[in-house]
Amino acid sequence: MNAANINLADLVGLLIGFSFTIFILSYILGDNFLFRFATHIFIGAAAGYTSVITIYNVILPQLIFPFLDGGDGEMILTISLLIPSILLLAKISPRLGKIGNPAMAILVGIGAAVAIGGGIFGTVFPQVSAAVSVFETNNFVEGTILLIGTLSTLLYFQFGSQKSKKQRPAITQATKFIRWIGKAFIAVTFGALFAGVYVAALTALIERFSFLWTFIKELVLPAALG
Amino acid sequence: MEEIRCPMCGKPNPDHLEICEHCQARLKPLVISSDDDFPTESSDADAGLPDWLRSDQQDEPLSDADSDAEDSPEADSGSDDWLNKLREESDSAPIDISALEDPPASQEPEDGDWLDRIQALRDTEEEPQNQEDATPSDDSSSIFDGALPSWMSEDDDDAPEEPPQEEDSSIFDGALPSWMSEKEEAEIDEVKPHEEALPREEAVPREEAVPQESGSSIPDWLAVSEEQAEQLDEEVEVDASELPEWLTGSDSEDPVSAVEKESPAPSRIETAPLEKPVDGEIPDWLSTRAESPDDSPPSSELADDEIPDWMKEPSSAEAEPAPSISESTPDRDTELPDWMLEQADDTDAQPAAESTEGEIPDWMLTADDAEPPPSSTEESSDDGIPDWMSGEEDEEEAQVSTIPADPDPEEPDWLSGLESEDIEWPVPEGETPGDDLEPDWLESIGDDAIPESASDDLSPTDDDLFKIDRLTELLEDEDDLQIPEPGGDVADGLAPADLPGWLEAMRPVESSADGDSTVEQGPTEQTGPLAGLSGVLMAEPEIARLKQAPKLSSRLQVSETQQEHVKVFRELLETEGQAETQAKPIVVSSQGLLRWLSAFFLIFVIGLIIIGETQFVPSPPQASVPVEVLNTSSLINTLAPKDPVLVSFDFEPGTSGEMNAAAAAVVDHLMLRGAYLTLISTSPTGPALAEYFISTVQEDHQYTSGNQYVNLGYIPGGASGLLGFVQMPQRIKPLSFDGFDPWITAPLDGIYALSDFKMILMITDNPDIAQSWIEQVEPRILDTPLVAVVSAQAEPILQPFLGGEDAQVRGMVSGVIGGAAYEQVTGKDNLGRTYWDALNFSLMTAIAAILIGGIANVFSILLRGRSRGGSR
Repeated sequence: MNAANINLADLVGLLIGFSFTIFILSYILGDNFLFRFATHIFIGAAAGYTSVITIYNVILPQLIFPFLDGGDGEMILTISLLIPSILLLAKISPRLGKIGNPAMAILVGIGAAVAIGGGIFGTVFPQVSAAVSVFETNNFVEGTILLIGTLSTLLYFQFGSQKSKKQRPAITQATKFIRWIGKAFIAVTFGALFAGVYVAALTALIERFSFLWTFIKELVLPAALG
Repeated sequence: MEEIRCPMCGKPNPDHLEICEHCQARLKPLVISSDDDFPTESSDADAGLPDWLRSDQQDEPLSDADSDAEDSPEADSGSDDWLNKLREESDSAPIDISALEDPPASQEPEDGDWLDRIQALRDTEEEPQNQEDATPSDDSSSIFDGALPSWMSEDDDDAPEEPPQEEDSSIFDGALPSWMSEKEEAEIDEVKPHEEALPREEAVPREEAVPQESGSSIPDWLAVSEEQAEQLDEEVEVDASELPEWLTGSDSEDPVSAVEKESPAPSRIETAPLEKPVDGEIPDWLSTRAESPDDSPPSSELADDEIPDWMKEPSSAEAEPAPSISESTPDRDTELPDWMLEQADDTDAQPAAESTEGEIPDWMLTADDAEPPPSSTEESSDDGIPDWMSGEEDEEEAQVSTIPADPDPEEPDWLSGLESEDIEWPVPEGETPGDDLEPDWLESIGDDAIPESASDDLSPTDDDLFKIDRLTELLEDEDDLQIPEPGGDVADGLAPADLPGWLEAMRPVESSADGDSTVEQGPTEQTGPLAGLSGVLMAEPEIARLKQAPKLSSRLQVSETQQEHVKVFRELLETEGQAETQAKPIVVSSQGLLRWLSAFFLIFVIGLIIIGETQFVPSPPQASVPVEVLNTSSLINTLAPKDPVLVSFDFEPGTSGEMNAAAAAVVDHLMLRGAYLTLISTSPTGPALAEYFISTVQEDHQYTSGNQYVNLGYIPGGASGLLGFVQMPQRIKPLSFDGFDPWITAPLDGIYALSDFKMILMITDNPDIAQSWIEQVEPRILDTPLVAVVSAQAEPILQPFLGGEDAQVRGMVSGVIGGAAYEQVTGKDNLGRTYWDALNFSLMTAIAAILIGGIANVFSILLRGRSRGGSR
């Protein structure tokens, strides 16, 4: 960022960025008009930008252009995709929403199948294999901690109890102890996640302050100092 | 010609017809009474009369006829309609009752209250009486003020100015029952000669007028009372001072009043012999009754137990006071009212009481008969009492000497009250002297006149009871109706029969018969017009009535285990409904101040570091660089120039500062290695951030689109789109973000599948997106390494995918810390190092704030505990 090289569009962009950063930081004083104004602008800009990206990056290249410029096979395939896409537009109207249900069912079904397949073959099996492989590396301590943490965490989410005759169904003390260990592992995990979130937020704050200082140092101070 | 419309068919008929020409229905109602017998007003008055009076009214002529046939005319007239006689006497002797209250003259006989009519008549008569101030009638009227009921005094106060016939009609037509008025008219003819003989205007002494009127109109009972009073006067000196004022006043003020002349009591006192009560302690009237058996009918010989109770009562009442009076004459002298004393004095002075009997109404005579002072003469008995009554009296008089008499319920109130209060009369058990305020004759007729014995034995109806002829018949037939007593049978030689045992066993049981009768009668109606009737069909079936639903047992067979489960479930529900008692959070009143302080410190530290551009904090040492960072660097180092690398920018603009700082060193390393970059994104904002990153952060490498890198843009559909991109990259992304065919550019030259890329670098802040890449892409890229640059917040989640030989993610750089470490590995400072000091100082500030806050909490808790302990 240099005031000498910067064009007008970048300058406007920097001014807008600087202003909206101040507006968002004004939230430290509480909810106010500047914060709400900046929030609405960001939401609107993101929605507009997403729409433009969808049209220009999805609909035109994948649906319209193949239908117009593609061969017979592409045209037939495009039409087979266009019909459910048009039916999805019926979801706009509550009265005609049922027309788009088949297309929506196809989308949900495919998404569920992909998620389940990916979860099983991309997460469960690899994670089980990785958990077992820990002991193969002769890292017994790490493997033991990993095993204890995994089992105790799983037992923490076990809410059932064993049946017993003439006695109230109750959770045994051993189970309670293991669940307490699992609770500790979960607490550590959430602490790590909170620390990561806090670090990410601090990084964003530092990046914004760095932007502001750069903007001031490069644009405001030179202009002010002449 | 007038027409009468038939009440049945409604057709007109001539006026003279009594039966409808069309439907033969009677046009004119049947009227028994004629103008002579029943005045028109009497029919109106009948509407307000009770049934028993109506029936009595209808039977009255018959009784008169019978009595006339059997008794003398005088006695008949005097005994049947005592009210008429009373009125006639009052007509003949005007009485001034100025002391009485003046009822409103506007009271008309149409109101149905015959007593009020009498009162009204009295008022009309008071005016001429008041003009004669000197007449003794004023004093005599005071006698009856308190003692006699108003109807009695009114009868005595007929106005002399008005013709007797007119007064009678005006008084009794509307008020008295018709049978009374009938009697009245019958008696008027008898009394008239006496009345005419007496000058009405003059206050003739009673002693002078009495002889003229005696014998015809004075009732016997009143004559008896006079005799008794005379006895009392002669035998005993009455202490007038102890008598009530209403009695004494009349006596002292004017002993020779017109009222006294006409009142039955003095006249009867004169006629009564005085010696008999003293001799035999039996009043004269009883003795005379006993001595005159000729007057009594044969039925008088009936035994006392054979006579119905309602017939016994008057006789017993008559017989009762006789001995007691004679015995207690000193006491009674003190209790006698003055007017009676006065009458006694008068009779002593002028023994002409017999003449007054003609003026005394029958009802007073009968009442006098019921009085304790008994005295009777043949004249009085013959004149005032019909045969059926006189016969009854004779019987009872004969029994008086042997059995104690009961208090007479038919005697007037003023006498009964006098007796009951001051004189102790022998009262048999079970009987109480009547002291009702209403006239005795009403009581006797309404209540006591209905004999139980008669109803039981002879079963007469209510109407029959008040028929004189019926009563006479009953008395005549009493000989036949005598119920033989068992003792009498034994005396006659008839031994009581003994039922044999088998016959005794077959005898029906009374209780069962009674029960059957009650069952046959059925329930008694409680409400509605049929209330009181039994055996009436029910208005609604019994099944339609509301009934309480039967109570059914709702107990269930529950085992102990089920009860235990129920108990557990109940406890669970109870615990769900109860909020856990949590310690109240410490409410920091200066929460805004703390926020301001935290913000101030953070902003101050970060600003200070950014503005100062300080690098106090050293970069992470080489030895402390994480393994995944080193693996990433090693993988990049294995890349050859122009090797295709797929780089995904899947982060949001909000985390672009962190992601740029983390990825800057890695991408810089790739560019340094001369790798061709293919940019892709599953987020709509990713392509723009990728362009910004390449053009701004890595502007030093001068990468251009289509040459060193190509931006494929946005992949819609999330995991599905990513899977489609993995399977058919050219089909899913036929055009680049800039709108050209990317597959013909250098970065994508020879690329037909993702496995054709030498490395896949995933830059994301979202662990879900990273997981999608790992799940959908990593299994299909074969040996192509997947390296991740993630945000610090996604690192804990993606950490399990690292490590090991079969790790799904070969290398990972997380956040500014990872970027700074990677910069340390590459030896080239970048954004990581720029933010490093600020990040470390801000983290230390945050840690310090957390520590200070924790210590403050501990101290606050300790202080609170101490304060609680101190307070306790």
